[in-house]
This record gives sequence, C-alpha cells and structure tokens, in this order.
Amino acid sequence: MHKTKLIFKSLIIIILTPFFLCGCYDAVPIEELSLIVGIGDDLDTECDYPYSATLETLIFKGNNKVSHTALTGKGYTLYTTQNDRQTKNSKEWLLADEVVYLISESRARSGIKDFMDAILRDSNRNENAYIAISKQSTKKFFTNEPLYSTTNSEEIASLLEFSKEANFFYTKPTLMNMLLSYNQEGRKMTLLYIDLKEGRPQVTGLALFKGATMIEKVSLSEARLINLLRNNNSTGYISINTSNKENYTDFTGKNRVKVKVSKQNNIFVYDIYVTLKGVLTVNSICEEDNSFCNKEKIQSAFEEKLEKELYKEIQKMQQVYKTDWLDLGYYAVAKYGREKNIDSDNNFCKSKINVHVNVKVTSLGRKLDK
Amino acid sequence: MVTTLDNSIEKNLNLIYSNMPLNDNFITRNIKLKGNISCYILYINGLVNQQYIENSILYPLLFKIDEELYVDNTLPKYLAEKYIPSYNIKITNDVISITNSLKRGKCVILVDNSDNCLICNTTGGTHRAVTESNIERHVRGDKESFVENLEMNISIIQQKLRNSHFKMEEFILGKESENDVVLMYIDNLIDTKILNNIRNKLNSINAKYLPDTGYIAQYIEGHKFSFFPQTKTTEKPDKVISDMLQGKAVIMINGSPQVIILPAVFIEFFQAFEDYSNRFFIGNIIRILRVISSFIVIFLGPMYLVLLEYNAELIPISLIKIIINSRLGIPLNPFLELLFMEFFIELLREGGLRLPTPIGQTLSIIGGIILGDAATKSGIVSPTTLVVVALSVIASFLIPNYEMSLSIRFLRFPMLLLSKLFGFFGIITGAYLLLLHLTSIDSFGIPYLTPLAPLKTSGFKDLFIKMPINSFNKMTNLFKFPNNKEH
Amino acid sequence: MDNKLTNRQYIALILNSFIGVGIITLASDLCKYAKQSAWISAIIGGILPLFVLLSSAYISKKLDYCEFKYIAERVYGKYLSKIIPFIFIIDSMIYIPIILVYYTQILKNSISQFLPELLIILLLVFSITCTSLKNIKIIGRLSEISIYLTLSVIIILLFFTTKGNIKNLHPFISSYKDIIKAIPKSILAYQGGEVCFFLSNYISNKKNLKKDALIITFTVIFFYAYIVFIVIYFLGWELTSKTNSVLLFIFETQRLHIISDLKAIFLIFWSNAIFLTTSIFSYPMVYSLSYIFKLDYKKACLLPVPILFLLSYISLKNDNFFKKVMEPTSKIISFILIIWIAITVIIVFFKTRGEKNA
Repeated sequence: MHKTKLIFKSLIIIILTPFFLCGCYDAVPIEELSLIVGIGDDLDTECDYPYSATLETLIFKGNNKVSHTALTGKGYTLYTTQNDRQTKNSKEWLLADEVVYLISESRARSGIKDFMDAILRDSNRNENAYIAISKQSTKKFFTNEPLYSTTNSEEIASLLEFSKEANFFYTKPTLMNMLLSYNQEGRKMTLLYIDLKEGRPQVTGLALFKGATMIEKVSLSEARLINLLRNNNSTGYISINTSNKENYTDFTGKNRVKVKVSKQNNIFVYDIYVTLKGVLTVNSICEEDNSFCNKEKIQSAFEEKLEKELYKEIQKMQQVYKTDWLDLGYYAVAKYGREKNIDSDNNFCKSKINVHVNVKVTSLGRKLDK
Repeated sequence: MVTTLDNSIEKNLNLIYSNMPLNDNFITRNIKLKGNISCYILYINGLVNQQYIENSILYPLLFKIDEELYVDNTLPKYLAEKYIPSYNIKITNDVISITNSLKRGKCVILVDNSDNCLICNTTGGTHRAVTESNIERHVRGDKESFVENLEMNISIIQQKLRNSHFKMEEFILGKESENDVVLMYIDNLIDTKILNNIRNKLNSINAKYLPDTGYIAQYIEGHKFSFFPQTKTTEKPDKVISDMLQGKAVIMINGSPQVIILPAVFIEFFQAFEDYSNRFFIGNIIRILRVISSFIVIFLGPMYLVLLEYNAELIPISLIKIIINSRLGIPLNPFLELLFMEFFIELLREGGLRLPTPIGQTLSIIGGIILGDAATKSGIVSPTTLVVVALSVIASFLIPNYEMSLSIRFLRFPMLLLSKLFGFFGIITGAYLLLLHLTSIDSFGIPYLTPLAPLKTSGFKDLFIKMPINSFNKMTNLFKFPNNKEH
Repeated sequence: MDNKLTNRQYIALILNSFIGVGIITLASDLCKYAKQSAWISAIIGGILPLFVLLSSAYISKKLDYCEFKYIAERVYGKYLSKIIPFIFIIDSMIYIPIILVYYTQILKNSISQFLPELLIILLLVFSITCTSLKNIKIIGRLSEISIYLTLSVIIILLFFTTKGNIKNLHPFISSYKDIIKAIPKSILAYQGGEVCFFLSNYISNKKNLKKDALIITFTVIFFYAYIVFIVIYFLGWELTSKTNSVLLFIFETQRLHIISDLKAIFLIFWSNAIFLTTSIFSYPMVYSLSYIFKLDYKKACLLPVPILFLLSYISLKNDNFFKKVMEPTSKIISFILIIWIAITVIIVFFKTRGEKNA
C-alpha cells in the first residue's frame, strides 16, 4: 500500500509539470519562427565590413496571406553578419528549409573556402538547396518582386532546378553536388551563373572553379559543350544549319558519357564516348537535299559537327585555360591510384584526348519524308 | 454442522430451513401419498416452472399412485423410477446440494422416514430471448448472442460444437452471492499446465460478489497493473467455439451475457471474425489497415506536438506554410490545445455511450460538428490540430475489441506527456518502454507477443496477413508450452 | 517458468550487443587510414568476433554448458575466480558510459538540440535499469523483435545504389600497408561479444552453438562492410574522412515528403538498438556483482546505477576526462579480455585432455 501511494504521488508530480513549463527549454513554437528560404553572400571591399549576407524570409500576415522580406547584415566573417542582422529581426531564425544559396561573383573570385567549411561543419544547413553564382550583388536578387511564387528564392530555385531541361546542364546543381565535386580527387567545381536581365533572373553560363576560387566564366555556347562531355543523362537541343535560313535540322536528346583511360609512354590517353539519343523535331533540309532524309546521313552529319566543335573546345581547355574542367582526372585516379598527383593539370595538358560521338535518332517524327 | 438428511422429516425440514432465506415465495407444499405417507415438496416460487410442478410432480404423486408403498430409505428411488415423469431427477442426502438446487429453481421432494430426497429439474423463470448483440456487430456470421441464463448459453454452444472431448467444470464462487461459474474447454487440445493454472486461480478467488465476468478476469489475471487486457470478452458463440478449438478455455457466469476467453495474446484483439469468411485479398487489406490505424492512434498526436514545438526543421516548407497560417492568433500553446481537444472528444464519447440511443447519436454528431466548427472559427483551436485529433479518434474505431481500443486510446496521454517533456527522444523512449512492457507480460503463461517474440513462424500465417484458409485450418499449436524438442 | 533462450533469440542478443554506436562513425575512422579500401579492413577486422564466439562455444562444450561462475571456478580455482568477474564489471562500467556519451552527442547534434544532457542521460539510465531488472528471457524476446528493425538499415541504404559512382571505390586495393594500418580501428569496432560467455547455459538447443557463432559473425561482418561500402560509394573517401557522423550525414541528404529526411526514421529504428545494447551489456556486470558480493539479482541491478550516471555525466561535461581516461581504459580492458579468452581456451584444452586420458 505504501509503495502504491509513493507511485501515485510521483506520478502526479510528473503529470502536473508540463502545465507549468509551457514552452520548456526555451523552445519557441512554430509561429514565432522566422523561416529562411534563401541565403546570399556578398563581398564589398570598399566597406568597413567586407562580408555581407542577405536572408530572405517568409512573413505571415494572417488570413492566408504570405509574403516575403529580405534582411541584410554586414560583418567580418560569415556568421558574425548575424550580429547585425538580428537587430533588424523580430523573431528567432530557423535554418533548415532554405531552398537556394547565391554567391556573388566578386565573393566567389576571392575564394569561398570558408563557405565550404561552413556547409560541412554546420549540420543544420540543407544539403538539397540549389546554389548558383550571381553577377550582381545578391541583395538585388532578393529584394526583387517575384512573379509567380511568394518568394524570390522559390523562383530562383525553380529556375535552377529546371535548367537541366536544356543546354545539357547537370540534373541536380545542389550543395551536395558542390561538396562532392570539391572534395573528390580529380574533380573541380562548376556552378551555374545567373544574371539579372530586365529585372528577372536568368541563367547565362557556367562558373568554373579551381579549388575554392572562381577562375573563369564561360558563355552558354561553350558551357553547352563542356556539359556534353561532363554530365550524364542531361537534355539539350542541337542543330545543323545551312546557308539558307529556313533549312536546318533540329535534334532533341539525352546524352550518356563513358570515359576510358589508358597510358602510352607516360602520357594519359582518354577516350570519351558520347552517345546522344533523341528525336528529330525539324528537318527542312530534307525537302531540298534528298540525301538528308536518310537517318544514317543525319546521324553522321551530327556526329561530324559535334566532334569538330568538341575538339576545338578541348584544345582551348588544354592550351588556353590549362585546367582540367572535364573531370578526366577522376577517371585516371580511379584506374592508376590515388594521392599520386595523377590528376594534376600538368598531366591533363600533356594528355591525348579522343572524342567519339555517337548520335542515335530514334524517331523521325510524325511527318513522312520522301 | 450436520450436512446430511435424517430419517425424521421434521428434522430434515428444519435443517433445510436453517440454510435458506425464509421469504414468502419459499413454498412448502405438504401432500399425502397413498397410505398417509407425508411428503413435502419445496421450491421457490418465481424460479420454477409452475405448470411443470403441477403437471409432472403433483399430479402423479397425488392421483396416480395405486399401490401400497413401502416406507423405507428406497421410497424416493421407487417413486422416481415409477411415478414422476420429470426428465432429470437426482437422489441425494447432502443438505448443501439441496439448498443450492433450491436456489437455482429446482424442486425438492422429501418423504417421511427416508434420509434421501429427490431433486427434480423444474427450472423456469423468465429470461431474455436470444437476439442480436448491440455492442458486437458483425457484417457476416451468425447473429445469435449469449443471454443471462447459464443453461441457455451452454445449450447455444453445444448446438454448434459436437466434439466428443468437450468438457465443462462447475464452480460456485462468491461468498455472499453464490454465482454459478462454468469453465469450458476441449480436453485433448488444451495444454494441461495452463488448465491447472486457471483452475487453481479460480479456486482461490475470495470475493463477496461477482456479478460479471470482468470481476473474475481481474481476480485471475497475472498482471493487474498492466494497460493491456489478458483475456478476451465476447458475446458471440462462434468466436467462443473457434477459440476453444484452438486450445483455449472459456469462463461463463450466471447472470452475465459476456464470457471471457483465456489465454489471449496481443494480436488476437486485432482480428475480427469476418476476416476468415472473407476472400483472401480483401481480408488482408482490412487487417493491414487495422495495424496502421493503431499506430496512428498512439503516435500521431505526439509526433504532431513534437514537430510543432521542438523540431520545426523536420517539416517540409509547403506544410510549414499551411500550419503557420492556421496557427496565427491561437492563444493556447500546442500542448494545451491538443490536450483540450482530446479531452473534449473523450467527453463526447463517454457521454454518448450512456444516453438512450436516439439522443446519444444526435449528441455525438451535432456536438462534434458544431462545437468543433465553433471552436475553430472562434480561434481557440487551430484547424490542423482538429484534423489531427479527429484522425486519431476515427482510427481508434477500427480496433474490433472494445477493451483493447480503450487501452490504446488511453495510451495516447502518457505518450503526449512524454513528448511534451522530452521531445522526439521522449517518443523514442516511450515506444521502447511500451515494447518492453508488451514483451514482459504473459497471459497465463503464454508470452503476450506470440508469435512475434518467441518467433514461431507457423503462427505467422495469421499475424499481419492471413494466408488462404486451407493453410491454417490444420490446428496450430500456438497455445502450448514449447517442448525442448522444438527449434 | 523456465529461463531458456531459443537459438534465434541467442543470435539476436549477441548481434544486438555488437551493433552499437560504432556504425555511425566507423566509415570515417577507417577511411582516414585505408582510403577507398576501408571496407576490406572492415571485413578483416571480423576476426575478433569469430575468435570470441568460437572460443565461447568450445569452452562451453568442453565444460558441459554450465553457468559462468562454474566455468570460472573449474578453470581458475576458487580464489582467482573471484577476481575474474571484476574484469567484466570494469569493462561494462566503462563501456556503457562511452556508448551513452556518444549517443547523447549524436542526439544533441541532430534532433534534440534543446534538451539538456542531464535529462537524456537520466532517461537512458532509467530505461536500462528497467530492462535489466527483467529476466534474460524477456531481453531475448525484445532483441528478436528489434534486430529486424536494426537490420532494416540495410534496406534503407539501398536508396543510395543509384546515386553513387562505383569509380569512387576504384582501385580496389591500392596499397596493402594502408589496409593494415586501419585494422586496429576496425577490430575496436567489433567489441561487445563477451556477453556470450554468460549466456551459453541458457540456450535450449545446445548442439548448434558453433553454427550460431558463424551466423553471427558473418552477419556482423556483412553489416559493417556493407555500410562502409555504401558510404564510400556515395561520398568518396575524402569527404568520408572529414565528417564525424557520416551515416547521419548521408541520411540527411535524402528528403522524403512528410518527415523531411531519412535521419529521423533512422534514429527511431536505431535508438532501439542502443537501448538494447546497453541493457545487454549490463547483464555481465550485474551477474558478476551478484556473484562476488552475494547479492540478490534485483538489488544488484540497482547498485551500479549511480556510478553509471556519474561517469556518463562527467564524461559529457569534461571532454578531457573522456578522451584521456575513459577511452584508453576501454581499449586496455578489451585487450586484457582477449588475452583472458586465449588463456582460458588453452587451460580448458589441457584440462579436458588430461581428464579424457585419466
């Protein structure tokens, strides 16, 4: 009897405790949290505080109205910008659901090693957020007025997410991909590059990194060729033009890449096999030049054209840029051993690269050619 | 104390009177047989079938005796063999069985100068007819259910079960109320250790009044302070028979239509009878739905609380927008809000249980809809909380057995408490302690989570999904203690 | 009721005592030395459980499957047999707080960031005490159920088969020295098999102990090697060696629809395993305490509770104490245990050979 009395008394104390501890442990209920949806990093060398970071958050006004706002803070380092930013904020931050990260070009060119360290070290960050390099300062992107979503970040994130539908861009330009390409031996980071054109964000090329510093920015046409050699299972549109503006052939397809490495007298020989599979959407050359109605002729025409362009690009990379942005070192290291400096840019410049393009047209479309 | 009859009829009458309540309806009818032999017929009016006593006992004794009777100890036997057309006659001289039979509606015939008497079965009295049960409804299966009279219940079972090893043992329990209790089982299917265990426990019940089998269950259960029932209560004879054929025992009491089946393990409370008559896929889908719904009942509310208060980073952003929109302006914090809603729904449920049927249904429906709507519109509770609580309430309706659904409903509250105090870790600890409790209790010797823990794959044919009917119609030996030869 | 374990329960118990906090950090520890061939070191480290379990099967068979105290008495005589259980007591008393500390740190960094450590340790010690108060048969039933939950991690990891690149693992064997350098770390991850000495007399079917030992060893080796393999397949060895709780990291990257990532689901399944590991580990400690000090079993369960609590709390607050006192002590004690097992096997071999001849 005594034992049951003791149990009951302790049970009553335990049960009554939560009523007196509303919101215990300083945990704030969800409606008093400020949800971060986008983060931007800037560098301003003229200012006292060089680093500045902009956060875009959601605002709930009641009656199902949701809007957005962007707050900026300046500081000496990545996280001390929060000292400045919190003075303008009325709630507690929640950093787990952000959808987009933007880094301005000036910041990227001066090195983002601290940013890479932050992604790995802070476990709250969302590794599935999209990331891009922006030409102007990120504050401009986040203080824009979004057209069709509630926040700018969601718009930019959708822009980056569906960039893979053309130009053979990589299917998931996320933080995770950035981490993997930064750390794995033989690979280099390549990020999307966006620009504000007529007040709306637009993808204008590829930003190429060496280590954690941005070195080059390439235009969309060059980016297309680099992507064709790097990425697997990405979609793009290519064409064969003639002197007549109306006569051309359009091809939509997905690519597959396979790389084989071999060695010849201490020089690496890379064989890149690119396979493009897709459909023809326009073939007006066929009406003038009957030989172009033949599938094999079309395929070989595309292969010739692509190989020429790809060889030109590879030559430029080996002689002008002198850096391996095709991730070929990754394959060499996998075959010949790690941590032996096989993937150095020196080796890349000396190596021999062969490109074999194979175009497969699966269907000529609905129209019947003679 | 004298417990046997004597030769003198006066002394016998006094013996019997001293053990019986001497009310007005305890009738002593004095007749004289041929040869002026005095004979007394005792019965309690109201418990006996009046027509029967007049036609089958009084009439032949008064009018049909033609010969001279020898007055000695064998007279009652002679009368029973020649003159009394009653279908069930017992000859005894034990006072205790005489008084017990009188209380159960039998009539006693005492003859002068003999020390034994006749007990004739003249049970009458009125009782409820066999109708469909109100609380256990089946879509398919028979619609009979037990009544309060013990003999009728036994006859219902024996009409369906014609096994030659069917055994019944009778007990009289309850010091003041003297209820008849019957223990039924099939002799060659039940494990003898379990049977002896049950028998010992029944014999050691020391209670004053046992109106219902629920009282017996509380006395003989091994783990009284557990949340979970270890015996199954039912009103339907087909459940009783199918369980007896699996090797279980059934206890019935006079005066209550509910019988208890023991031993009962956890998974049985989730199996409904019509699963077995339904087709293969349909029965399985419904069974899986039941298992999912019990998880929903226990874990949905606490998970919602944890996600709102402590771990908002685990919710995807589109859902967060909806939740925050619905929670703007709510004065209570999430824990009190959830508690308030759950308390309110439990009030509605218990209230609707006792009111007469038309009012009860109206109250539940109107109360639920109007008050829920009004509470949301006034801003005291948020719509998402209402959805969560309503979902868990509806999920609790799927559990077929009433006691198990009560246990699972009330398990929510400690879980809610743990999640408020400790967050996600509290739910993990709560689930672990629940699992520990379930594996450590046993129902009369059989572990409660058979066939999951001691893994017996032959029992898996009926666990979450049920195999086609021929593969488990061979009798499973789940409810026997394992021999050393197994595994 | 009789206190017997079936074979499946025995296998599940020992498997549960192996799989602890180690799997979260195993890949990163091994990749530091063995780079992309870390999974091979994980396989080679499986020699330890093979040795421990087979020796236990051998000793039990030769000494007729008696209880642990009789094994100690018959092999070492009356006086030494009072000292031997001390090794087990100290082993459990150091190893359980280590597991609790790692688990608390993982919880605090991922899901319960606001909860004070004191409460986590309090709840953990409470659950362990509740479990250890029950019979070994009930712990056996519990581990039978929860081993399926833990091993379902294998199925969750199948998510990643389409997301990685096999080139991360090439070349498979680049340098033998690296693999050998990682072996001591991998052997440390296989700690925990000592419980089998205390359990061998509870099994109902004694003929299959050797087969059970092999099943357990191969399951554990497959489990650990599979995890390391998939982690390197997905991340590559460089990133693996830089993160300290690698398994949680890769689960964080996969998003589901309602609970936003796999981490929460994984923590629910795996916390069960942690609860059980610590409870199974406390069994040798309680048994030895009740044997040496002649206490009732239930009272001996309550005795080490304050010590465990204090050790865990101090290790959490004081990192120096943890790294400089607790971890080296645990390594030394495991080493002593291995030597003890070897000595016992040799003594039993000679004793029973002598008995057979005589």
